[in-house]
Amino acid sequence: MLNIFSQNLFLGVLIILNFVFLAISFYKPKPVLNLIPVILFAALSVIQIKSVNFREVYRFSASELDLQIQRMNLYPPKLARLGYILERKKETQIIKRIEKNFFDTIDFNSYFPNYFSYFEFPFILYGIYLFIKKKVAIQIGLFTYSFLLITIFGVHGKIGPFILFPFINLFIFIGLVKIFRFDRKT
Amino acid sequence: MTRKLSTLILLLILTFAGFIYFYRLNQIPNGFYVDEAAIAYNAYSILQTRKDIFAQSYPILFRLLGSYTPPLFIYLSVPFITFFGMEPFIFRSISAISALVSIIFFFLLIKKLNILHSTVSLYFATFFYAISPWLIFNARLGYEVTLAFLLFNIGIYFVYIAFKKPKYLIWGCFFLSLSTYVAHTQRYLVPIFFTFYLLVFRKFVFQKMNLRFLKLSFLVILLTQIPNFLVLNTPAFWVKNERLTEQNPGQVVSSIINQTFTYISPRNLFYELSDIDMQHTIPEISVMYNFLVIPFIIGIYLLFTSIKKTGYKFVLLLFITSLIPAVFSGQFISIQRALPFLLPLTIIIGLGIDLIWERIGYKITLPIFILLSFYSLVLLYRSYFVLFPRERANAWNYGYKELSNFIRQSPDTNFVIDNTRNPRNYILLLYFLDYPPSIYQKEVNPIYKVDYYRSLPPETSYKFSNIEVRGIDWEKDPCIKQVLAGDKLSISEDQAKEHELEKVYELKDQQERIIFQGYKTNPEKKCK
Repeated sequence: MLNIFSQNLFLGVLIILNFVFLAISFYKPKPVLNLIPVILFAALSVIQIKSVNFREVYRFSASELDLQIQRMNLYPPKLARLGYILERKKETQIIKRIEKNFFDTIDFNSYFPNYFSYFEFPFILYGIYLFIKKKVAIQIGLFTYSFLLITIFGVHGKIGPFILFPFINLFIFIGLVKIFRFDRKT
Repeated sequence: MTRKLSTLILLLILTFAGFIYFYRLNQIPNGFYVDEAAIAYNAYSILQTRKDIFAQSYPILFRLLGSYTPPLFIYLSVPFITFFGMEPFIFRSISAISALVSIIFFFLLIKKLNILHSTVSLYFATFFYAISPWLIFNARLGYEVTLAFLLFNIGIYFVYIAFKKPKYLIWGCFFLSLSTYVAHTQRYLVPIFFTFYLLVFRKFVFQKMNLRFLKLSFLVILLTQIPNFLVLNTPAFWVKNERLTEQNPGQVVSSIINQTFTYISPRNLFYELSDIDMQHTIPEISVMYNFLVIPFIIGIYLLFTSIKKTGYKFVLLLFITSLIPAVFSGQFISIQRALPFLLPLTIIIGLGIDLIWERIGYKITLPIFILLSFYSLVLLYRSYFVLFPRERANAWNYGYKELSNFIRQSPDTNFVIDNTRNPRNYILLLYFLDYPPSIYQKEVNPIYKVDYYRSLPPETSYKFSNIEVRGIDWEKDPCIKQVLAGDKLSISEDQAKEHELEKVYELKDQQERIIFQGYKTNPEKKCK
């Protein structure tokens, strides 16, 4: 996470702010408090989209195109149409790219150890569990939105899939709070 | 659901899986991998001479290509060779049968685990297990991993049903112990699993009424492990432990963490394998179909939230322990070593399917699952039956059969076969040339015949009959009358020109790439 600050201080602050308001609205889900993360996420979305060269994400290199043709020709003549659909058809290729982005998004290696430490992993898992259990609709909506955005735009933008970082921070935080009982009332 | 209908569905799944496992088994994988050839040729040697190729009588661990593999698969292959011959199909069919039987035990285990609410999800889970690319890939291999996986699964099944009928713990221990004689992974996995099992379920296992069976089970383990005890003190037994001794502790820890994350990453399991060994992978598909990632994530959630129940706890125990040998045993991801993970992985997917089925209802779920099953089969056809035979032929040593036929045609010519990029390829020639093991045993370097279980580094050059398998010596070889053979990198066109070589053989793969070429030397011209 720290390397985000060294690359873009404004972005780092925005992520932290986002996380803080997510945490506040997680524990006190009031409409006014919920609105702030929505606005902050809109700002983060703009930066995330701008950090990615969208055309590049869905562009196929010469070698990729060559491989598509080669593979298409491997099918027996009876199944040539299937070969075309599976290997060459533009729509199939775009779906495959989205599929790749989706799996990059849920790949642990996209986040660990470059942005988060392995030691935070158990807290994240526990945090996700608590997050799902609490069912704060607006937050689940925002998370789904961020997730879809990354699935479409890919994780390989200049600064990675940072729109998801406030949530990952939130998961770590709520996991830690619960495990170490910081929320215990005295 | 009636018992008859249940049996019928299971039979349908088995028939369909059997078709996939046996369909063109001799041709796909396209080629014969060195590990398959090593097993096949050593089994042939045992059949012919009662000794392996290094003239060791009935080894407890087979040296093979330096791996000191547990022996059961090889000994089991012997009757198969006796009755059916030496075709790749024969060795691969042992794995195919093992995979088929494993489907039955998978079905029985999830039924007994009693963690799925709907019977339909039980069948869907079994179906996806049976047609999982991971099982299909392993069902079509001519070496030991799938048989070991089957015996381990049978053992696991009996260990689980021992919760209700403790006497089955004895059978569980018997099969688990037996699996250690098939593959390296199980040799590590079984003690790890058993230790954790005793720890996690200590309240049950050490109950007074169960102690008798526990003692008997230990006795079974002790007796069945006698052959292993005999070689326990030899370097051969610990040949796969280099990882822990070669690296410093810091490196080992960080690599273990990295590997654990990679193994369990959904990307690795459902999209693209991180295994860099081309022989281990199928193009464009991972070990499970991509859409199963959704039931997997749901299943993981259910597993952790219901952990107090015995069935779930048992699955979690399997989930954790089945990856340990893979994570600890190598610096790189090896999906083959992680095969036992397929069992908990599919059970967890089954949990997810079950919840989807329950929440959304059969009217929507059934057509979706049927459609997705069809989609899975299209993906499987594409990856395994269209792309795999062409794109992985090189990794599977395609061409050695044809090269051997070429060598066979010229019994009076000397051949040098380059092994720079495939140091273990000599075994393929021995296998395809049907070279008599009794003669090869006499030609083996004598240092490999003494102290068999001393783990010596493998040789770099081999000589048998009219063949030498080694790197080409460009100073000496062109001056001897012989044929030099290798791939495109072994002998370039420039080298051929420079050394006055004459092309006498060329073999191309299905993508029209040259995989082997043979050049006749011309000492009169080159070395006059």
